[in-house]
Amino acid sequence: MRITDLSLTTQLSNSLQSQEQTINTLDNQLASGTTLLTPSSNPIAVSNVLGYQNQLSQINSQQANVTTAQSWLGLANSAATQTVSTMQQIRTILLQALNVGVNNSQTYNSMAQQIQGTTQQLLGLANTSYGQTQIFAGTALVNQAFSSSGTYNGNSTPFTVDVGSGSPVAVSVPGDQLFGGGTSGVQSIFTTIKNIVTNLQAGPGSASYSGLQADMTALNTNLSQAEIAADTIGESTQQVNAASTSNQNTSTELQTAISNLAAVNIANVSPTLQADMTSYQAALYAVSKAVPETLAQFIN
Amino acid sequence: MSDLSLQIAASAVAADQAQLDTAANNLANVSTPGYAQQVVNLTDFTPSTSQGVGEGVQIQSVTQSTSALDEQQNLIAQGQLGSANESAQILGLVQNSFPEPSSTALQSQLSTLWSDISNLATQPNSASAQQQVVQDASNVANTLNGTYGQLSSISQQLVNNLGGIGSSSSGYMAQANQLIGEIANLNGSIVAAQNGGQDINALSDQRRADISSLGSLLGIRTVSEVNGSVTILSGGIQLVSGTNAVKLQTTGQPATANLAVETAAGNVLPSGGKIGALLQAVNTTIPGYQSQLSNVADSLATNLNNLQSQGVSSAGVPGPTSAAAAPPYAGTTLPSIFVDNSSSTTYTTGSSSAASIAINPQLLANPALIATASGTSAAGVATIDPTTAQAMANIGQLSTGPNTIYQSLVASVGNDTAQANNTQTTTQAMANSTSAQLLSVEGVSTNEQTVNMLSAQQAYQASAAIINSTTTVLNALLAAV
Repeated sequence: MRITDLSLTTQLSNSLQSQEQTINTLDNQLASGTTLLTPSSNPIAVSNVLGYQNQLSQINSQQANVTTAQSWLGLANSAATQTVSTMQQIRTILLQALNVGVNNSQTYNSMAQQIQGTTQQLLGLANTSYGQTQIFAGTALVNQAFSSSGTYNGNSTPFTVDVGSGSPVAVSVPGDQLFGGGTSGVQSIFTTIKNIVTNLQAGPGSASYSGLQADMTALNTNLSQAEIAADTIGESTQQVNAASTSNQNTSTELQTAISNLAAVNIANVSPTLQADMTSYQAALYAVSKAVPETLAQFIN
Repeated sequence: MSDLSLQIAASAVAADQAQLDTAANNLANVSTPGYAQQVVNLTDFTPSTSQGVGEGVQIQSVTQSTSALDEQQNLIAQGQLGSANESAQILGLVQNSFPEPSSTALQSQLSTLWSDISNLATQPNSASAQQQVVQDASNVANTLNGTYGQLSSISQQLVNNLGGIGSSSSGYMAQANQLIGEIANLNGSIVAAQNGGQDINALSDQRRADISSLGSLLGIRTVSEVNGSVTILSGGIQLVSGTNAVKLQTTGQPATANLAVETAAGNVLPSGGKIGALLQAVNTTIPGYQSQLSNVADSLATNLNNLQSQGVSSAGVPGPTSAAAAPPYAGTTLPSIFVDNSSSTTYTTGSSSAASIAINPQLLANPALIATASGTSAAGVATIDPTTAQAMANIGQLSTGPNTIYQSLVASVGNDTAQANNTQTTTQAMANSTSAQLLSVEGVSTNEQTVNMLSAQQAYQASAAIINSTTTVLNALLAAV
């Protein structure tokens, strides 16, 4: 093919242009740390990265919810454990009261006082709050889950938090399932305590004895209900912890996937850029030599 | 006899001078677009004497080295390149409206919305969490409006570049009409000059440059006529025939996806060149993206509004279609989250909904009006039931949700742009090669011209020596008399 000045300069400038574009792209990749500078950089990768980022964002927010769920469950677990232990203390005292021939009015009164004293403690536990929210009121928004007389003000729907374990996890139990009363079908522990105290205050005798036996049955029901509630809270805690681990693993996997698609591999890009720079310099040299050298220079 | 030598030398000097002039002219036009190098065609004088001695040299013509085949190839390539360049440029602009992946664009704003709703679900009665969600939703609506608006203004700018709707006298339309007029005029001048035996090289150069420019604008082909004129065709429609120029104008409009270029007689030109790429973008590509963006808005608004309507707020206000709102309930119900615009109370889906989607001002004023609780919650009873908020937080993961639709929109913008860039690269390579081919035939080589110049110079010197020598001989002869 015949070489003419315009064909030569056009070709050289096209070649420089294309090298400049390559270098510019690599420079941008190194400066930004990503190979996906625009959607057209790699449409499939960009689409996948957007999908992964969307999943990652959900996992991150569910992982943030894990913290809330753990706070709730921590409070609920501690309150349930103390409730069970307090009920067991009451049961111990009640067992002593049922011990025939050992007690007199004085010891009954002392027992009545001790048991009466647990009421405030249990009310305090029943009205445990997370921030401003009562954790044993179900999803009802009330100031106190249990009123000072021991009436349940909440509802029977447990509050749930979505931690990414499939369906949302209950992070507490409705108070009536721990303390009885409400719609639970179990006599409220506060009523049980009130009955025990009344029977003890009546002093030893056959009437109070049979009353206290009935109270023991009621207390046993309260205790087994509270133990079931504590187990439920424990199971939820395990579920939340498992979800947290799974979230962390998935998050790592997604981050790796995104990084594999988007991150600049400096080990690859640097030598490529170096090679491109060298050939660019060679091209510049060629242009500086090729264009001005003509026969005209040698004519005097 | 010596008289003849002088005559031969004189013809040689004239031929050498013509060659020097031609070389100078070629060198002067070494980088003139459309210039085809000129060649002096010399022939020797047919001897009229019986001795067989020639009678010198004569300039038969000065012609251009042209190749009709290479020109045609280059013209096609220029048309394709014009189209590819324009497409790549337009899509590059469009792509700027979708700066993904990033931590600030729409995808990320949607993610923030879902995260904050998820956070609201853990504290449904928190005023700050409610406020945050409403603010996020407002940001998403603003970004949808802004992106749609950017696409509209690109489209508007392109229509302006074309010359406006129904126009023939500005922008690309003006350029095309001017070139068509010039080519028709040049056809007339060339035919007349050729008939009058005058030089047509300069006129041909100009016509060649005009045809190349028109080819890049419209995508055309040419037919060379015997009389020296060139017929210009776009598809089967004649744009220039002899001295007849067709006037082009735009017809239709982008809103009805039928903006096109037609002749004054109403023949619509096939799509080609820069103008073809521009029409494609304005009629199809950009409205397509706007429609997909509106699908994102529709999915976002429909999903959130439905859940809002079926749910109950943490203060116990029921959504209009919730179980809690059933009679005997007769109180106020929750407003829609997204509405058509800030003065509307309902949301309508459609292909331009992304332009107008807005957060309901009622919610902006009172973020507590967002539904968080299940629709079966009791009306008028404050609740921290998070069921509706939890469902809202999962909209982002729906297979027909706004995130999924937006992802496929970004993927199609990316694919289209990447494809346009690839087409541009291949078309550029092809145009470079056809152009190099053409330039190698028609272009000027400095070295070649310099060699021609030197050879003409030497021949000139030789002819001068002959004149000198003949004069000496004649003088000697005269002295001898």
